[in-house]
Amino acid sequence: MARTKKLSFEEALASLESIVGALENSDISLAELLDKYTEGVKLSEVCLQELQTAEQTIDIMVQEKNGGLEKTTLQIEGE
Amino acid sequence: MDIRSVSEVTKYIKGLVDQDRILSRIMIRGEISNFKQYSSGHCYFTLKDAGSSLKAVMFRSRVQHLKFMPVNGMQVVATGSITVYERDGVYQLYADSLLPEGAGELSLAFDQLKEKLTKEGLFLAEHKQVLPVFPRTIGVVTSPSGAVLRDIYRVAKRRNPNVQLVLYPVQVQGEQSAGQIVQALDFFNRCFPVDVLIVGRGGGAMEDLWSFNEEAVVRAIFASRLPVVSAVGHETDFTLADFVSDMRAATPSQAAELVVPDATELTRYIESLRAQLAARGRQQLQLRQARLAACRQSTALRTPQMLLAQRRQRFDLVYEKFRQLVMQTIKDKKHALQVPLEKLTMLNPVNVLARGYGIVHLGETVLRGVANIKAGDAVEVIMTDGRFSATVGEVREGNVYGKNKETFI
Repeated sequence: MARTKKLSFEEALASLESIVGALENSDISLAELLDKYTEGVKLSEVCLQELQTAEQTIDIMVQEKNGGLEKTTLQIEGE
Repeated sequence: MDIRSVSEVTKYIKGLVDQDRILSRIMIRGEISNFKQYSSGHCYFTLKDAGSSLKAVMFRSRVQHLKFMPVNGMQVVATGSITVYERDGVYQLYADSLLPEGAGELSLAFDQLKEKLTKEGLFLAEHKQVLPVFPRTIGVVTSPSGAVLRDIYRVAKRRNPNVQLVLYPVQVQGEQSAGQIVQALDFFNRCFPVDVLIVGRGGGAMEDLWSFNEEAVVRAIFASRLPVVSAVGHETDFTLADFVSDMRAATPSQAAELVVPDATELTRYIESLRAQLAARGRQQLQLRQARLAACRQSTALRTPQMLLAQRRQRFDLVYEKFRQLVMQTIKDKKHALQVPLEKLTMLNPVNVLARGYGIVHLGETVLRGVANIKAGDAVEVIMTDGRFSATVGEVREGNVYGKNKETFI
């Protein structure tokens, strides 16, 4: 499925911050205001979703052996 | 007495010197002068004190183990052997190692490398990369055993349970250490682009932390495209890795804190941004509503008839002025007409009739005198209130009213 490049958390957050800043300016047109507001809400949802995604992550240990890459599950002493 | 060649005698002396147990393994204190390093890597210098000087050589294979760079004027203790260089017929010291006197070897090396890399600009703030706000994968370059990894793990997971740690295990001290750290940094940059790297180890003596002062390690951190946070030793330990990294953490725990944002805190922040967004959007709308309301409140829009009345009033004023002007003009003209009118009135024959005169017609002709009339003519006389026919009796010419004629007309 073709998908547009997913916005990174950093990009979304930076855009959101700049929009919140822009809404302080009373010179913006009503159309722009509504556009920006809508976009801001969308961006905040992207950020929140990103934060709340509970992807199961597995910590790994990587080692280069005989020119190859070896991945093993990371064992932490005392954990 | 036999005659000897120069070579023979030199060889003989060399033999004597080489046999000497003191000269074959000796430590000499002196000041370095005439120091030169050739492109071959070998170093040539003179050790001297107030009374004497001694030529010295240090081969590249030995030089590469030096942590510091010898410079002229430096007080050192050189270890090595003294032998004769036959070609020149001089004896010289073949130095295996040099130790600076006064400041320790390592701190000297530290200062020298720091100065050199500072000059190159490796520690400049402009080279520092910004850490990602919300990293998902964190590369860790440290020992697989020990408290460092555990501290990083605990803090990172507490703040964001979803963060992934990728450990590249290295020795954090010893001969192999620096090479492994360089390799690890290269590996992440080349094949495993994590969001951010933590490079570190626990506290220890300066020689334990030494890998993190090695030029190769410092340069590898500088070259890393991935942001690097250093966490070497304790609060008070500073290594060159700390200076060159994008951010220095005092401890491994702090490194994890710096790198991994608290997910709950970040959520709160986003929510506050969202609230601000809503508040400002609302504020902007209210601002516009207020401006609209102000416009609607203006007299013009609220009571358009007033606007009309005002215009009508102005029109009335102007019209009245106009009317007066016209009337005045008419009056003036009327007045101007009055005199000729009165004259005309006086000349009107009808008015003359009213004063008792009559107009005498003879046929179609109005008689202006008696010249054309004779007795017996039938005339018609018109008076103000009617007419009558008459027959002319006697006709007499001449002025009936005498001298008064002048005053009449």
